[in-house]
Amino acid sequence: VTGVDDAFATMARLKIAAFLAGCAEAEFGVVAQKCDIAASALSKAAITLEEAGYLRIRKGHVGRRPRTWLSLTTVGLESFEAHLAALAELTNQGRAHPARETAAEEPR
Amino acid sequence: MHDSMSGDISPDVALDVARAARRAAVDATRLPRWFPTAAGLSYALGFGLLGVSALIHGDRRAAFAIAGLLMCVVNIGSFGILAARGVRAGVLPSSGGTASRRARWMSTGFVPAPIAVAGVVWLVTGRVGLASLALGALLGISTWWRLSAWRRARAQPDR
Repeated sequence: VTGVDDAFATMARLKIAAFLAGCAEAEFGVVAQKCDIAASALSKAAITLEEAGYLRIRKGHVGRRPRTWLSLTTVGLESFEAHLAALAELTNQGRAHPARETAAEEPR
Repeated sequence: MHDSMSGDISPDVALDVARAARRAAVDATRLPRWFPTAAGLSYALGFGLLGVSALIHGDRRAAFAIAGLLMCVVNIGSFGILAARGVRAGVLPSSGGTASRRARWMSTGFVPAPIAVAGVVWLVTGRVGLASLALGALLGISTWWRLSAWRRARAQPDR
């Protein structure tokens, strides 16, 4: 299906993109906590998305404490929306042809 | 923790996961119920009082101007408090969230309109006070309406 993007193929990347699609920018620790992702997995996933041009990583400070902020790029948001649309299409196709799928899965 | 391929899970489960994650971000940046009214009212009173002070003469002129400026400070302060809350919470709100494209456009596209109308009032009448009154009324109403619509749109379930 057109629109399915491998960049969102892991659960961690899918969650990060979805969370960031719901806000302008979020702090690294908050994303890890709200998405229930370990910091190391989040870091790895964020770098992958950044290399794909889908995610922006910004270093900042709140008071004296350094903070890392994550946000989706415009391209990232568009690709993520297209990915969700493709998933929805796959879901609809599955609902439209449940009998065919069941028959195909049965052993002969 | 979670780094399995989404290919291992069905598309509808992936959609549910994405929906829940996006909802978590939107809920973390929810606009307080009082904010649209406070922002709209302080805009209207701020520019309205400044407009009145420019139109009248006498002792009360300074009092109206100070009150107007005070309301403008309250307005800027309320947006500042909201921004500080977002930074402290670690999530900054977007104009989108789960809102539709129309709601997103409304939240940003209508901002220059009151300023343009006030400019026309100033050009036609040549009176800064009337332009300021028009700006206060239009900016106050549009801000209240825009933020209320944005708040409602973000509170709705995902599309």
